[in-house]
Amino acid sequence: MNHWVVFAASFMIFLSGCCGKFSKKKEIKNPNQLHKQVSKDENHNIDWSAIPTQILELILSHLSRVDFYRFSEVCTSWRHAFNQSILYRTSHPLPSMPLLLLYQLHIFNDIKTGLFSLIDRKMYFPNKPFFSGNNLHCLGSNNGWLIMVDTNAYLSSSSSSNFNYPQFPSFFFWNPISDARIMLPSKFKIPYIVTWYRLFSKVKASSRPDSPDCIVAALFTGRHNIAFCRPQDESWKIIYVENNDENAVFADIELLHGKCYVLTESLKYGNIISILVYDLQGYGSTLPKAKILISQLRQQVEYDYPNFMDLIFQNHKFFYYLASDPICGNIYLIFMIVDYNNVHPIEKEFIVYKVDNISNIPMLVRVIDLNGGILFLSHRDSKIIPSSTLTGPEDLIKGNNIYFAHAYPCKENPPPIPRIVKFCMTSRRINHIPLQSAELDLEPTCLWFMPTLW
Amino acid sequence: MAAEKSSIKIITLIAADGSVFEVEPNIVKEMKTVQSYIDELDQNTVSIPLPNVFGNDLAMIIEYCKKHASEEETKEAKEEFDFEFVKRMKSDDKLRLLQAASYLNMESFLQFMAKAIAAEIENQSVEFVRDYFQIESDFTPEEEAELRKENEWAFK
Repeated sequence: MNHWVVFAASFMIFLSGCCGKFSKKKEIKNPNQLHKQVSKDENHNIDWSAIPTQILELILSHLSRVDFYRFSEVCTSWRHAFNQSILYRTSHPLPSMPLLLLYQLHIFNDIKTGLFSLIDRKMYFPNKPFFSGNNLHCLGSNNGWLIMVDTNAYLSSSSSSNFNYPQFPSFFFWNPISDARIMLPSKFKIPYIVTWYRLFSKVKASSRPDSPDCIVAALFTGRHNIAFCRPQDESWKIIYVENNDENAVFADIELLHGKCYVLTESLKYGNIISILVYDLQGYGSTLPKAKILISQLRQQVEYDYPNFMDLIFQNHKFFYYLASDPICGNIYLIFMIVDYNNVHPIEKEFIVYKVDNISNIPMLVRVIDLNGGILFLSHRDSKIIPSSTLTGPEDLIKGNNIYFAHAYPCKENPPPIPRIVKFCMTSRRINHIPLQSAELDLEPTCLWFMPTLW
Repeated sequence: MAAEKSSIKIITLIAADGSVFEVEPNIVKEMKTVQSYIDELDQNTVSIPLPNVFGNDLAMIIEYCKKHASEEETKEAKEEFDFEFVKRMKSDDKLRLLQAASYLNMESFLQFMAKAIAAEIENQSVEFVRDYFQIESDFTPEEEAELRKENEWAFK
C-alpha cells in the first residue's frame, strides 16, 4: 500500500510540473460561480455505453430488482456490468417487497406456481415452472431460499446402500433465481408412515443456508413433535414431547437467536396454551429440553378480549402465529379473529403481543407497533422486515403493517382465491387487497418470498 | 510528523484545465486519494494536481464537501442541499462527478452520485433509458428477445 502511495505521489508531482504550464494565471475560482457554467456547458457529450464496468456496478447497486434486470437489456457493456456484478457478487438489487408465492399441493398434476406482486398487484408466472412434477414441494423460505422436499428422491436411492433409511425424501434449500441448491440431511427416523409433503406444516430456517449458524426447525402437522437440523448434519433430530394433555398440539414454531419457540394449542377448544422454548445452540447427541416460557396464554387473551368466548358461538375462528424480529430480538404472538359467517371468511381483528420480561418474568405485553417493522404472515411463514430496508411505493413499505395471506378452505364453488389483507397497526384498519383470478384452480398454499440473486 | 501535518493550513488543488482551488484540510479528508498524498508529505503548503478532474466538477465537489464538513449545518439543511445539488445537474454532469469521485476515492460522495444516476433509471423502460442516455442497442433482435425472456424472472 505504502509503495503505491509513494508512487502515486511522485506521479502527481510529475504531473504537477506539466499542469503548471497551463495554469499560469493561478486564478482562484469561487465554486459558487461555477455551476452556472456547468449547466450551460454542452461540450461534454459522454458515451454512456462506454462507462467503466466498475462505475456501472456502482449504479447497479442502487437499483431495485426490476430496474436491476432491465439494466442488462440496455446494451452489451451494461449487460457485461450486470453479469460481472452477479458473477463476483459485487452489486445486489436493493431489497424490495416480498412476493407472495402461491402453489398448489396436488398429487396428480404438475404443481402450478404463481407469484403475486403487491406493488403492481399482478400475478407473475415463472416461464420455467418452479416445481416440475408432483414430487417437489415447498415447505418454507428464508430470504431468497425456498426450503424444498423432493418426495421422489427415495425411489432412486432405495437401491443404494442406505437400507436403514429406505424411504427418505431429499430436503434442500433452493434459490429459484440462481438455481443453487444446498442439501439438508435426508435421514429421518419416524415410527409411522407419512405423506412427506403433509408431514410438516411449517419449516423455518434461522438464516440463509450458507450462513455458518443456520438451523432449520420443522413443525409436524397436528402433533407435538419438532424436528431440526443444520445443513451439514448427518440426520434430522426429532424431539418427541411427553404430553399429559392428549389434545395439545404444537401449533407454531419460530426461531430467534439460536432458540426455538413453540406455541402449543388445544385441539379441543382451539385455544392456545403456552409458549415453550428450546435452546438449540450447540446441541449435539443430547437433545434440548423444553422450558415453559409463558403459560396460561388463553387467560391473558381472554382478559384483553373479554367477549372472546362469545365469538366462538358466533361462528368466529381464531388463528395464532408466532413471529420473530431478529433485528430487535423480539418474539411476537399474533392473535387473529376471523368471521366465518359469510361465504368467504373475513378477518376481523389482529391483536399483537410481544414476549417481554417484566421483573425477570416473561410475559405477553400487548403492543401497538412492530418497531417500524412490516410483518408478512401466512400459515407457512412469518417474517418481519424493517421498513427502512425496503424500497418501493411509500404507502406499501410503511412500518407497523401486517400483510396476511391465506386461502381459506371452502367447499363451495368457485374454489378459494387466496385472500390478502393489510392490517395497519396504527389505524387498526384492515384493507383487502383483491387478487384477480389466480389461475390456480385448487386451494393454493401461500408463502412470502423475497428473491435474492445468491 | 504529526505537528508538521497539522501545520498545513491551505491545500491547493489544481484541476485538469489548470484552474486552481485553495481549500482547508478538513475539506479534502473525504478525498482519500488527496489525503493519502498529503499524509506522505512533510510540507507546510501543498499543491496537488488532479489531472482527471475538470475545474467545473472540482468546484462542485468542493462545494459539496464544504457543506457536508460544516458542523453548523443541520441534517435537514444538508439534505435540502443534496436535493438541490442533484436537481441542477444533467445526467452527463452526474456521470462526470461520479467518475471524479471514483478517481478521488470519495466513498460517500461516490455512493451519493451513483444513487442520483440510479434515480434517473428507476421505473423506466429500456427504451427510455436508451433514448435518455443516447445509447444505441448493440444486441441483435434475437438476443434482445432472449434477454427479455430471461428477465421475466424479475417480477415487480
